Amino acid sequence: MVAKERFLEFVANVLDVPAGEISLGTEYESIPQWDSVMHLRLVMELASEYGADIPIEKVPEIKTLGAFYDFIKD
Amino acid sequence: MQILKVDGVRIAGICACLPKGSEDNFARCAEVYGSEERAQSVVKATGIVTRRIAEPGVTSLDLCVAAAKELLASCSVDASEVGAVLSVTFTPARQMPCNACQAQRLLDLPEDIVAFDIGLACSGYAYGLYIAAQLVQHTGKKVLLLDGDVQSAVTRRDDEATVPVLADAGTATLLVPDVSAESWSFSFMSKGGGGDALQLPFGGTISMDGFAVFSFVAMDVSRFIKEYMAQIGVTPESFDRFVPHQANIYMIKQLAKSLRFAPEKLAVSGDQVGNSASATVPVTIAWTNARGRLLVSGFGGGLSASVASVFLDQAAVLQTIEF
Repeated sequence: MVAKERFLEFVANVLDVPAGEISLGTEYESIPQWDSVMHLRLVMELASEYGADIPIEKVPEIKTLGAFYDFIKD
Repeated sequence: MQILKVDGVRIAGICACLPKGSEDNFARCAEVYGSEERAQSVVKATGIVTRRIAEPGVTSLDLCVAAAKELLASCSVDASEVGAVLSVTFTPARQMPCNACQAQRLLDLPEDIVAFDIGLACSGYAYGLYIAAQLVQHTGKKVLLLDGDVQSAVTRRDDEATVPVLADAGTATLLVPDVSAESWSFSFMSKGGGGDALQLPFGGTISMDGFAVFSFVAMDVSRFIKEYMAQIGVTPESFDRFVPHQANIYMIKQLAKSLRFAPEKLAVSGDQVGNSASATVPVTIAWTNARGRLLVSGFGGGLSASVASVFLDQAAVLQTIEF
């Protein structure tokens, strides 16, 4: 089980934002750095870091960081 | 879903004309985003390293006519043999007269010719192939399909959504009658309700809602292509190559995976030359020397999508030139 804190630190690093500014409830586009390009980058980096291959059909449904976490936590 | 079939038509050749000029995507994105870290993220997320960009003043007509001249010479076809010329473009040299009519003049094609433009964006090549194939059947003559855009002329220089992906190119495809040719089939879809996601207003510049376009591809286009393959009774193994519109390299790799194509079957050119709208399909065919049974698909502005199963034999001329 991947710890939430570690996941959020990783995402904060990818998005280049302070970890304290994001949570699992953070929604897409609520922070400027998280746009469509960064959304794809997150998918790629999470696949690389956690081996979580998110099917392309599921990617648009991911609207919060918590939804990303659900794909990689196990 | 409508499946449209065509028999008795063969692609004699494709010529892709790429601008000599190019932009290093990392350097350009660093300018646009004001950050090298952000630029690195964008290049990684798009998979596009270099984009070919036309010199100011060069038009889609220039690029397509250059491709057509080269192709006709390579195929040893005289202009008098051409019965129709079509041009797929959403950035014609002028709003009027259309590119196809000017191509008739510039290529010295016969005046008793069918000539018109098809105003589609990224989905346009398969549409063009289908209509061109119909004209081959009806005229019994060779047909030139031009497909090209100069998107750089209608892209805002500081637009974060479009600068990292858009590029320019012009192509020519020569279709000929051949009763022994393998059958082709096509399907098309339009989701106009999503049209605001990718716009070019008159006198304006291209605007794109990247997430909405990605969602269209990930969900609607993926489902559309799967249903098409099921309806015509094929599998990914039936094809030698999958040639999708080169919208975003990571996205098309994921699309190919979703469709269960083996990675080596995916044809890619966009990483090196960028996203030149509907021309990316013929550019990619020429760039990668893709032959055999091809699954081609375009998707984008409209929102619109197209898919086709076509055959390109070993004798077909495939060439890339620069302008």
